[in-house]
Amino acid sequence: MNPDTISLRDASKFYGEVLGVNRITLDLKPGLTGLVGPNGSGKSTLMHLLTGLLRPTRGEVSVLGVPPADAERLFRIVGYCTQYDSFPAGATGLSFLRHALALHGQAAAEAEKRSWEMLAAVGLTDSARRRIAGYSKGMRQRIKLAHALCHSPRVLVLDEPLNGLDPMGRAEMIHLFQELAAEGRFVIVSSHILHEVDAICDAVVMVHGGSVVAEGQIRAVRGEITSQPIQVLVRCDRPQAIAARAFTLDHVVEAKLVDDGASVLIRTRDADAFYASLTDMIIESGVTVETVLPADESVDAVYGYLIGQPGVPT
Amino acid sequence: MAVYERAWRPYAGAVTPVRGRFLVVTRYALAEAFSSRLFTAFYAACFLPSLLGLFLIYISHNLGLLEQLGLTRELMGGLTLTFFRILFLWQAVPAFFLMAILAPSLIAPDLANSALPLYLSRPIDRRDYVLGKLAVLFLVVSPPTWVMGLALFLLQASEEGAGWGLRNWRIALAYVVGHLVWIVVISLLGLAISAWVRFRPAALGALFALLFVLSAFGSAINGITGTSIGDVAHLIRAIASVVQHLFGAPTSSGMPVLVNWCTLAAVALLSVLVLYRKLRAHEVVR
Repeated sequence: MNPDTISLRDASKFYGEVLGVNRITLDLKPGLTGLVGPNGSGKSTLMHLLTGLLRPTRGEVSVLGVPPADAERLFRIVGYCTQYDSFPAGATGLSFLRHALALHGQAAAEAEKRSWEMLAAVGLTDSARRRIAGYSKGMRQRIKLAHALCHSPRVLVLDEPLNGLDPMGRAEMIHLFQELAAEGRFVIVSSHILHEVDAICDAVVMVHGGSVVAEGQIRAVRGEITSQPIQVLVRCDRPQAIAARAFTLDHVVEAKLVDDGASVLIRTRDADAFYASLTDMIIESGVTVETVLPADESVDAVYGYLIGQPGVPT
Repeated sequence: MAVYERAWRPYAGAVTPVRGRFLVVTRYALAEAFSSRLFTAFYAACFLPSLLGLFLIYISHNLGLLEQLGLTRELMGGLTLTFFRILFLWQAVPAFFLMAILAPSLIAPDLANSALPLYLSRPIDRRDYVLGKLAVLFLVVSPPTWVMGLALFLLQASEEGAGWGLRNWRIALAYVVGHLVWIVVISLLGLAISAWVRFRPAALGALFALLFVLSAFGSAINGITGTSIGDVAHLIRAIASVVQHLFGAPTSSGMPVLVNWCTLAAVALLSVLVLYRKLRAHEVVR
């Protein structure tokens, strides 16, 4: 197994006769990876396989060359944030982190110092000695993140880490994820909120019915879906002119004027050819173009195409 | 495509040995247990039988004090097998309540709060987790039971002079082995029940109920069959008989001591199996 990637080879997990995930083969690289899928699709099972909390019924899992069965080596490099509000009874923010670091074998003084650093990183210094049971939902999410991060792991597996955070908290957390990814870590984030995944992740893994339906950079995934024409939104001063010229191209299947009166939505079977022709169309028609945007190169749209459920799965 | 520099640095400091890492679980659980004043007060009370024993041993060897109290050396000279057997019982009963209170509070809250994945996503496994919790019970229950018992035995041996300790070695054996068996069996049973029911008060009730139900079941079988076969399921009698045998006294069970040992081993093994089944990082709801 490759010591530089997180790999699953034909990994399956069955709970008796119930399918968790089926024959998953994946190679995850450093950066922010979004794991998306509806409830019961197998996201959490996949995360549990990566963190060794579940053993595959079949196949192999390797995290940077370490088999998940080797808890001592695995959890030196992996930090896991569960989706549940689960804390030992009576724990304070500080004791929660100190305890985790002690389990990692850090001496008391080192664990204390590191705990305070992590509390500062997630903005909980003032609440360090309060019981977690009294924390708000957002604070609990942040202490869980600090808990996953405190031993400085290279791989972070975060199950629904943005749940319950207010917009400001979400923005702070997303910024933190991006910083962690920029350090060369593997940050694997599961979420139901597709547009958020779309905005922050370098790559996505789409899971449905226990199987991976697509993985990779979202643009590349979208390019692979040849059955669905690609949508391009052109915002300009005379959208009718662009629409008229677009109709003359063989690969364009639809040109629709948008209600705002300043845009046209083109659906084409050959995006590269369309982009190549667009320059000529602009010059020939003399329109002033404001923006040209791919309209369905998003996790949301791709997910809808692949699973047949347009919109945000919840 | 994003470009990432490898700026991440792992923790490079010293770490404690892996083998003793389960003691971290123990340390935090101990701190949590003794954060209750009521529990601490009860724990202190569990030492009273031993302190009374200490007083009796002291007074029986202090001729001056005996004279002042109008007592004779003969009256207090009977600190032999019976004295130590009664003291054992006085230590074992509060120790049982100690374990019955403590054991359910060790695992049930973690399971009820779904906190197990937090432990198991650290460099410890289920065995370390159970070992850590068992160590709490061992460390808490040992001082007022076998540690104090052994100390009293040694004190009595030193006061009585050479030969007493050698002649009565079974007392020391009974205190150490008897209490350890008591601690292991009741601790495992308590932890297993709390892993099963996941609710502290219910676990406490279930532990008492199980002991009484098993004992009543055993007695009923004995009554119906007119034999001692029901003692196989009589947990309290099994422990009592094992301890009596260790003291070299006649046993109260109608079954051979080996059968009593097997009963205790079976209860311990079943408890371990329940813990193995119930303590999982991840629960599947079908």
